[in-house]
Amino acid sequence: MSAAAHGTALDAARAVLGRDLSRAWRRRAEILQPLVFFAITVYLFPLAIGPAEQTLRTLLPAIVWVAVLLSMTLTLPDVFAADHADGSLDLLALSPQPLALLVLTKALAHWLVGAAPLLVLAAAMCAVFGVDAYTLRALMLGLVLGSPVLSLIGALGSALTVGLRGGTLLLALITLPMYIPVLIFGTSAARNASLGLPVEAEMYLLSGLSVLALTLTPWATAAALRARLG
Amino acid sequence: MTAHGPLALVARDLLCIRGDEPVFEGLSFTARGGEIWQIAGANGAGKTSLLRILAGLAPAAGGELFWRERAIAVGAEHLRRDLSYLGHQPGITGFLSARENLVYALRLAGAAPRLDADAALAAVGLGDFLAAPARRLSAGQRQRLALARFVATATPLWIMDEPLTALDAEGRALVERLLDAHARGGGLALVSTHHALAVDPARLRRYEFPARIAA
Amino acid sequence: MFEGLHKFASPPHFHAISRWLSPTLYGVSLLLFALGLVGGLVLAPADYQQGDSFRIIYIHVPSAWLSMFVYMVMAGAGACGLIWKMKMGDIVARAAAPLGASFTFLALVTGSLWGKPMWGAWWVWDARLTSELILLFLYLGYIALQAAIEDRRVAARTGAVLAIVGVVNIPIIHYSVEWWSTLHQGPTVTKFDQPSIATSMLIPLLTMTLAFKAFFIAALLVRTRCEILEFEQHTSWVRELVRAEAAR
Repeated sequence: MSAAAHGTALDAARAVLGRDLSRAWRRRAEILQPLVFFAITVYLFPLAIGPAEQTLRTLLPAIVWVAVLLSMTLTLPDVFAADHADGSLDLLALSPQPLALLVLTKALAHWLVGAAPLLVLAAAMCAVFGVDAYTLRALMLGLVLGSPVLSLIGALGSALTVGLRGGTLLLALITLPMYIPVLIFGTSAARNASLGLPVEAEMYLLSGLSVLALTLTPWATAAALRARLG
Repeated sequence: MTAHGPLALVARDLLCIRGDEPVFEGLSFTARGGEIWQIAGANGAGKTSLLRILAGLAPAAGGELFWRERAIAVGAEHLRRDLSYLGHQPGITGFLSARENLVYALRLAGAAPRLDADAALAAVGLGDFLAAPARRLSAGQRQRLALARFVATATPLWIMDEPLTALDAEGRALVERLLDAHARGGGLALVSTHHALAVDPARLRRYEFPARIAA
Repeated sequence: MFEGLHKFASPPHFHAISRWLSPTLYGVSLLLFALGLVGGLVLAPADYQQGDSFRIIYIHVPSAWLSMFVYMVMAGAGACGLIWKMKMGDIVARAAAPLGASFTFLALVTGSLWGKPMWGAWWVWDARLTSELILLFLYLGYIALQAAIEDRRVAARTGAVLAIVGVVNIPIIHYSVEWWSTLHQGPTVTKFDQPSIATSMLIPLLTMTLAFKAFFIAALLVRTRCEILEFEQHTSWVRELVRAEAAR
């Protein structure tokens, strides 16, 4: 950190990001857990459906999307729960810097730790399962554009349920219905791609959702935190 | 942006309700810079609730609250700029070292530091534990680590919830020294504790919560 | 005008007004129900395709409309509480949720009953039914959050945030589900949107809609009044009210 930048909102945001990332790094064994969960979930489907190669290949993008959704939901309590338990959430809320910016940073940290590795794994698994290159590109682009929405809405859900007993289940109940548009457009893109159709419309819609979530959810998350801490 | 107006925290007719029970009502006071307010009272009297309301973390169910002649709502920006807060949970993160904890808190607080992190940690007696993960520190050492925030920054309003918890005699003396110096410098401190505070008696104000009457 | 609104929104004032307004509205809604049901079940002719089974629209359509409307009321009230610090806002939002969930549930059940003879199954993945189901999940999430938070004041404020977020989401969800249904099934001929409707069918439908709305407002007033008394149980006006009631 440079001395000149001290005291600015950006410096506070960088401090938040650095702290969350170093927490993740120091407990890196825990980063693996959602990855393993993701892999198991994806493998459960062939076991349930049967080893029909063609059916599986058509279903795979949808399965990957649902598994990403669930795996990301599992890590959402991390965004605020630990900070609430040790009292550092009070410090965050009392920082003179805009709380919306700080919670946006925490959502970014969640995406970097909880989503980015998942996307890499998802790409690798799809390639191994023989998804064609065009479909894979559409699927991955959809995930890259759509997953920030999941982190942003997830951070909001995490703020709403912070400190509540049975928080994870409640959080899933609140956030999963709001994930539906992303799921629909994301899987629709992959399906179109597998049929050789254009996917621009879905990509625009997913980008639109990302921009909307980026501009609106930080304020809602900040308001939710203030309401919960009261 | 700096807030104007004299350093004073004014409460008028505050009402606090937890669940469906009123914790306190009709609470009014004026606390000015240069004073140390000791908030005393039995367990459950509402000390923590009051301090969270004063810090702008929780809303009062009724009444008015002013800092520097401007009304405080939850998250009021002019209050956040002037405030250092030590909560019931000290806000220490176990996986960070003592120094990282302090630097993080200072960058978040954004105020111009009065002392650098290492000097502040030495001042609270943690000079030998800079790089130790905070989870290995004892409860008293964590409390000292939280106090280092108050050493390192120069905010005019201090709110401390039970700062003497887990501290040994020397640690308590440290808190008292800090409070005295802060008040001498014109700052205002509100401290909840039921221990006697050995600070300048001319500056000490005691607010005793009435015993809570069971309905 | 704003001041007038603030006065109306002050709990004692609201309590006093709702006291005579809710029975009146219950009466109005009962009357409208009677008129609408006679008009819809007896006077209106049977549909030339669906026979008498179409008559379920007199329940289904008003509850589906209200299920959306109530969420808007919740979010609007929540916004009043959150942004303009109107205490009544949070309370109204909290009181409206179970009513909205009930209307949504009613719309789903009647939709499914209506669809059974037509589709041969209780449930098909029709866009409107699916949207309605997601709306029910949004209501249930709100109610579960309210139930999980012990302090009713914190619960009301937190719920207001969720309601506002939900209301931004509803059109997006609705649009995405429409997209999804046309993508997977092609445009289905659904009997939910009648291109034209005979006047003799329409008038009872509008009457029923008004009856539902009057019922909703009356029930909301009663629920809100109960919540107000619980929120404000320590204030002097509630204590006086209790004393006056006891004396009577």
